[in-house]
Amino acid sequence: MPFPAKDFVALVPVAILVGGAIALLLSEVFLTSGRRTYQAVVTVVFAAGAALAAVVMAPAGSIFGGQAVADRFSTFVTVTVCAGLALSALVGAGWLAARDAERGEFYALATFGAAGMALLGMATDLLVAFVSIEIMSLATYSLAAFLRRGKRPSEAAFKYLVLGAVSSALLLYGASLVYGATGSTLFSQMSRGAGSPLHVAGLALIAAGIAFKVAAVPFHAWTPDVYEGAPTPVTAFMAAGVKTAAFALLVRIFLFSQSGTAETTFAGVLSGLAILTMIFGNLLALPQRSVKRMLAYSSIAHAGYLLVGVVSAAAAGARPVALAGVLFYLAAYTATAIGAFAVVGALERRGKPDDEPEDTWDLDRFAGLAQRRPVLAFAMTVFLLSLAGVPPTAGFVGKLYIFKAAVGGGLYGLAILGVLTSALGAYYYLRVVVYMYMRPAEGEEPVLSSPAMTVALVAAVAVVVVLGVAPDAMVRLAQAASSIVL
Amino acid sequence: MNLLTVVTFLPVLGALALVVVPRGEASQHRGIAFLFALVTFLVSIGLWTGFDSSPGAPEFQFEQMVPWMPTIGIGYHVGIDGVALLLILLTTALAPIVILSAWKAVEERVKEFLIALLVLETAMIGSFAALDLILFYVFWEAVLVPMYLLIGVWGSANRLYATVKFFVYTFVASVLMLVAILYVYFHDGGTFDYVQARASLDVSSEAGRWLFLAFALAFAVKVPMFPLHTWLPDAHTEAPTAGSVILAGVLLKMGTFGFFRYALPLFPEAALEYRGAIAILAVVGILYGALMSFVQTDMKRLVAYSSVSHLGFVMLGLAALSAEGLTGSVYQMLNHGVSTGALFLLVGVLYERRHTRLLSEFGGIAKQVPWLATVFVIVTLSSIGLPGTNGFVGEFLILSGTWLSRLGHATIFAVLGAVGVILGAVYMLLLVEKVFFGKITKAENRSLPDLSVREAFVLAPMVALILVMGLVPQPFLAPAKTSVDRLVRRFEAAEARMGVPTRVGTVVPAVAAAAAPAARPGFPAPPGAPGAAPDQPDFPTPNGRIH
Amino acid sequence: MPTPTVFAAESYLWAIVLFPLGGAILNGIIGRRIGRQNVAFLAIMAMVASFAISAVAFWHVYQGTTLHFAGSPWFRVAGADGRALVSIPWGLTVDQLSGTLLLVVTGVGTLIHVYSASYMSHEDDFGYARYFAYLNLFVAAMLTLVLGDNLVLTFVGWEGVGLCSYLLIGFWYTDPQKAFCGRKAFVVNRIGDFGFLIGVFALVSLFGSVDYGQISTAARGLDPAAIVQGGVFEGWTFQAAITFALVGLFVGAAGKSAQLPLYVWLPDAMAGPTPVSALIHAATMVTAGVYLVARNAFLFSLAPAAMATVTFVGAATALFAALIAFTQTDIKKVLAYSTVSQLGFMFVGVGVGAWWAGILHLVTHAFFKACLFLGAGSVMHGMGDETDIRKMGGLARKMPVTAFTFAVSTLAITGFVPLSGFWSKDAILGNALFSHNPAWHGVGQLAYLLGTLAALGTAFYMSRLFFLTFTGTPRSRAAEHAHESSPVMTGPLVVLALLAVAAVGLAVPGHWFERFTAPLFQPGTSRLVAVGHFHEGAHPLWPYFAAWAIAALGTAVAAAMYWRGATALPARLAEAFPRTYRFAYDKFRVDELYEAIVVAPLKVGSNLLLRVVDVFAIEGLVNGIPRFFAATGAIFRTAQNGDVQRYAAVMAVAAAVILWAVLGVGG
Repeated sequence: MPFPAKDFVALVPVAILVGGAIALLLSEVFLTSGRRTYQAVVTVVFAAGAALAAVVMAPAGSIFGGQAVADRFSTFVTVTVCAGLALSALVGAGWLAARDAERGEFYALATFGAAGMALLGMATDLLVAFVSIEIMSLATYSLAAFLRRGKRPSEAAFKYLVLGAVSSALLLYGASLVYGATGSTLFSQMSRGAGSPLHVAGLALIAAGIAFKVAAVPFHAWTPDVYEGAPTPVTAFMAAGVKTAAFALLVRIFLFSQSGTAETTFAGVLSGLAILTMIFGNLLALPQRSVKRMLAYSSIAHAGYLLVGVVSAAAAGARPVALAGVLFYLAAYTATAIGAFAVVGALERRGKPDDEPEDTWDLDRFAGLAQRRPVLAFAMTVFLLSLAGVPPTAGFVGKLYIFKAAVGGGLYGLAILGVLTSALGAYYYLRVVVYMYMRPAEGEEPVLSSPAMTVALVAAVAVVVVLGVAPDAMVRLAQAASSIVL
Repeated sequence: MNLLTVVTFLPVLGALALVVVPRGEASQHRGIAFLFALVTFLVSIGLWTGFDSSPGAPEFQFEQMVPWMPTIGIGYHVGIDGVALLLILLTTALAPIVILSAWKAVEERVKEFLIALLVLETAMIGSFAALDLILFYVFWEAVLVPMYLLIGVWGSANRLYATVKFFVYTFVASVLMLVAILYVYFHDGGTFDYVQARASLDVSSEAGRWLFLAFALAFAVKVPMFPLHTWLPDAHTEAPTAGSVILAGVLLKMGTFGFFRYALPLFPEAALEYRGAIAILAVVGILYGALMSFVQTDMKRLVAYSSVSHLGFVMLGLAALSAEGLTGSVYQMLNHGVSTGALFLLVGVLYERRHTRLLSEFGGIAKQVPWLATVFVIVTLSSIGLPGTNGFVGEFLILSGTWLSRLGHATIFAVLGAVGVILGAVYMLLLVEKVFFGKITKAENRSLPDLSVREAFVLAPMVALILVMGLVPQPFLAPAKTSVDRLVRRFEAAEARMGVPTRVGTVVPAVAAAAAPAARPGFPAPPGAPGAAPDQPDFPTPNGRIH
Repeated sequence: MPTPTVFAAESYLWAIVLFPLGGAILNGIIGRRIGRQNVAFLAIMAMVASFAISAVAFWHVYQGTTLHFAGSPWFRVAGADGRALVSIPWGLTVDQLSGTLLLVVTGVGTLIHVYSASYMSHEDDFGYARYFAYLNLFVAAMLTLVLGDNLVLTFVGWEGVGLCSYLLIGFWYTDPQKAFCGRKAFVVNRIGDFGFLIGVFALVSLFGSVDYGQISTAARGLDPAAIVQGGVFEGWTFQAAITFALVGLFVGAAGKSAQLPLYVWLPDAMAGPTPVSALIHAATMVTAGVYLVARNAFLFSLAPAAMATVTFVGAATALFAALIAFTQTDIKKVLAYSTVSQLGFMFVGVGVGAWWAGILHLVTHAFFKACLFLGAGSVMHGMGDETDIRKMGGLARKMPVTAFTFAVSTLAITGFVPLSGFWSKDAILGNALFSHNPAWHGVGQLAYLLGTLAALGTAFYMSRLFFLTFTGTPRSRAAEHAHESSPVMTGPLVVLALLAVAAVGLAVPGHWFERFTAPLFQPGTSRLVAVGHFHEGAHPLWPYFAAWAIAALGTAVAAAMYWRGATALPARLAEAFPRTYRFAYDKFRVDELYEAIVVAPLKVGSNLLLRVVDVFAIEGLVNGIPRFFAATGAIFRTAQNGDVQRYAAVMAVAAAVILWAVLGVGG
């Protein structure tokens, strides 16, 4: 059946990203010099373009017969993803250049992934969602293996691939069950046939499948290994982008499945996951000495807080607050996480091509950073405080927002667990600060510094601080975006 | 431009100024920081002179209210009552002194040190000035970071353990307060504004209890109340002198202030239920802290434990909920800031000379450093509440206020508190004796230099304050009066709501009570008897003459 | 010092306090630079000025007008209703009682300042200035104590004198023992002050005021048997409540005036310079407790039980201290215990309601005991700071003036007719004998018995002291080369000795002092008469002769044992009862007892608390929590071994569990 042109117009942001990806690939073909920093710039340009397009275009609403939707929510997701892409690209530029592994493919894959993420933010149909997930995932799988040095990256990519397949299977199977129960793959029909075992089981499996993408306990097992193994800029991109997109999908499915029914399965499963994720994410981060791995666990923990936000969206009263909270949190986390990983990347030791020493990301690498690179140390401190949720940082406002929703929704248990676990988090985030400021430097390890990365860091710090001190503008956007077309 | 806001953010301005000055210019940094701190103090005096403490005056003055995060319902709402005013003055007064005291003590990373101090000052002033729950929470937490760095970076041997302990201890305790604040938001008509919340908060007594406990926990750790005090000795001992002074002088007051401003007035019903428990913990703190100080071998640890004891008095006065008790508590907050602050400065002076805080390393040095010894003794006397020093006024008001309060078993609490006064003399004089008296045992002590001019300038204001506040306390008591009265009335109203017999305020003296009903012929109500003495500003009490 | 804003005519009373205070401040700051003569001059002039004004004030009182200066408030807290809850003014008052003490303090004080100028001449400039600064400060505090028109202002002076006592006892702080004695004095006094505070609180909760005038005015309107309505003393009778308060105050008095069981600090206080012992630990400060009781005479008259307590403690202390003094060999220690004993007499006086007698003894005692101490100082000066009377002897020939004045004062204290001591002491004992305390019948008679024995003891040990010191043959090289002290020192001795004699004039001609103070104590006295405590009418004369005989007996025995006759007896007695002698010589080991039951447990207990509660319990918990989390974290970490199959399995199981759960719920 023919779709109106506006439906295609609504896809322009995605199209821009795809176009950008192709352009970047081609740039490799017609390459003349070995210098490739411009590719990062190109990526940033396309990302910016896509974001701009998403912003300027009036939300088209439901498109392609309800299989997708272009609303403020998707816009917000697209912009966030593009921001993440741009930042990671800048980080990557410096990081790869230092390992002279800079290739157009890197940017291209990232951009493709971003396209998938943007699409995922619009999907309102199980199949579309699945396809988008796969686009996103394939890109990230291969990005994880982008730097084929030592066994870690390839091993990480392999794990990611295999386990990702498992999760896709769960998702797909759940989808088929739901289809069986409702006779449709459209989200809008999802609330039909609620309560039937088939339907319930289907939703549960879908939840499990997405839980993998957002790295929720107990579907988190891959995260530390993959995050640690993957090239740091890629880790940053995954932590930010994948999380954002996956949560976007989760929110939509959740809301649709909730709409007009007393359906509680999803909420139950999600709160269960939230509790586990908050507890274990933080507990497991505690003993880590590898900062990169610690950040991986922390990203799990943050998934837990985000889940709290999603669950509290169930309470009718708290819905707008909750959704706005989730979106704000995603934006804040994107900036914070990429920033933190960037610093890790800047500090990590460059071993000989075929091995990565055990202590690549060890805390000791941060010892005395405050003397060696005060600015870098300061930036890292800002990110860590934001992750810990200490005012006045974006992380604090995000937590405040989400827990406010939780309390508003009467989920006191989740809220209290949330604040307590985040206090627990303060412990291991601070340990890094301790090393940076209160331990003498051991050995003058060269610290990577590149203009691109500096730009990224400055931008990230700016975002974290601004969102912490004057978050109002962003909050408005998030609130606007929280009015989802059902 | 609101004066209060200016005072609050001047220090941070100074910090920014420092950022642009190239590192290595240590002396310039010190100068700039000192200048900003001093100016802040001078400006803050404007708050004092401009503050109207007459009964009719508005509760909060220098108020400013601008939307900050209207989308979340958070506003930048600041304003001060008398108590906040006094504590802000204490803060702004201590800041320049502290910077001056660290002139020589801190040699490396001076710039960062001063930045941390100034940021800390703003955060502290802010937490006293805030009238929006979230704004308060933000300042409250913002205090942690610079303090954490001060201890962790410029502290002594065991600083890492101490500073992490300090941060996590206080952070864990305050996150629950955040949840409580959020709960309040949804039960006061959806606002974080303190004034409105206080007016329109409507929660079940069950919820009220939990909320009170959530707030109380956060504050009790800061105070610190027994048994949540164990972070304090470590933090004090490891912190650099400047840190200890700020910590003792101001940070601890944030806890007692929190009780006075938030925990008590927001949840009076719950407070009435738990005040007995608070009083018990306070008294335990008084005695326990004193006994601990008695057996310390490290000067700073000793003073730290004495803080536990002194703040026990403050908490006792708050629990008494009588005008004298509350006034005394407020005054004791200032006293402790001055006396204990001065004590830490003095310990710092000794430390700079000998690089040890162990009592056993000193002894008999009074002959070498007569002026230092003199100041030390004066401060000690203030700390043990000798009449004529500030300490006496506070302790007398608190103990008499407790004795005269309607709190259950008040007399027992007062008596035990008074025992604490005895113990205070025991350990403080022991400290003086061990450090200054006896024969000189260590050769290094034979050549100790006496106070330098700079140190004299650091200590002189403290001594002056000790005496002035001891001899002319009225100007310092006056601003607190209206706030105290308001709090008492709030509680009386709460009791009226609950329909319970009044347990707050001060008991009526027996003769007045007897004279009223038993107005037998030939037994007129004694002229001097209270009730007859109205509150004229131009006060001479009607003094009966000894015939 | 705050200048009172209420400039009543009497505001000049503050000058009495401010002169010594100013002297203290000046000497404290610039004293070490201006040279000794100026230091001494400054200090003495401050005293003279203060004395002069005091004299003026006293003259007014003598004319029959009570001076009162209602000061501006020091601090006050009013309730929301405006009722003054606590209100402490800088108010001063001079009446017969405070006027008398005013003269004693400034007069004796001046003399001792003069004496010190020479006595302390061995000090370096700094020490010299410090000494006079402290001494002036002490006088200022003592005057505040005496002049204050309310309990709290008295308490200010009360703690102030305690501070100065602390500073002066530990004046030679480089000797750790002396420093310790200073601290001991302060802490024991603090224990007393604790009682004082409680008493003040109790009175405030009864009368809502700390002003002596307001309190007694209010008390006069009271029916002691009435029941207290509401407040702290709900359900008590007023009498009981007042008794409670007064006992509290008396604990303070017992601490300051070294009564049982808090006397232990005074003997150690002898570590200070001897003039200090004379001024602070004999003449003025230690009598503050007596003053406090007399000041609240009317309240006491309402509380017989409190009076009985005072009486009994006083009497017991008098005898107890006298017994210890028997065996002491340190000249200052003997005088110290004698002071404790004499203070006991004073408390008997004010305890049985013969307030004037107690105060009279306070005055006479101030004269002769100050003289004795200064005499002892003169002896020490002459013998190179030797204080052991066993090493003295025969000093009468070497230092006649000292010996003579010492003799006069000894006779005065032993109660020889017609010297002052006899009259004041006898007035006390006589009143005790004929009082009938309703709360404890016979306490007066008991006090008389104990007091008489104590008087006997006094006569004995004082004479013993005199004979051992001044008669016989020198028993040491120092004694042989002893020399008389400078006139600057002997001058005050003579004056004080004369006063000790002249004080007779206060007692004898028609009980002048009794009549002088009568208007002040009249309400209390009439109250006592009303309740049958005292009976009007003449008393038999035999107690007078009894007292006379007692004094003579004690002296005679002492003379026999230490001067002429059975001089070998003491040694033989000591050998006959070695244990008893030792026990007495060790002052009945009270210090050791306190050490064992108070001090040691405090130390041990605190250490135990620190180890058990702080370090083990709380810190264990605090540090345990993070450890626990870290441990659990580590456990789950082992599950993270990088094995893909296991991860997949975990996911599958998890999915299964979820399914089971939701279907359990949904299906």
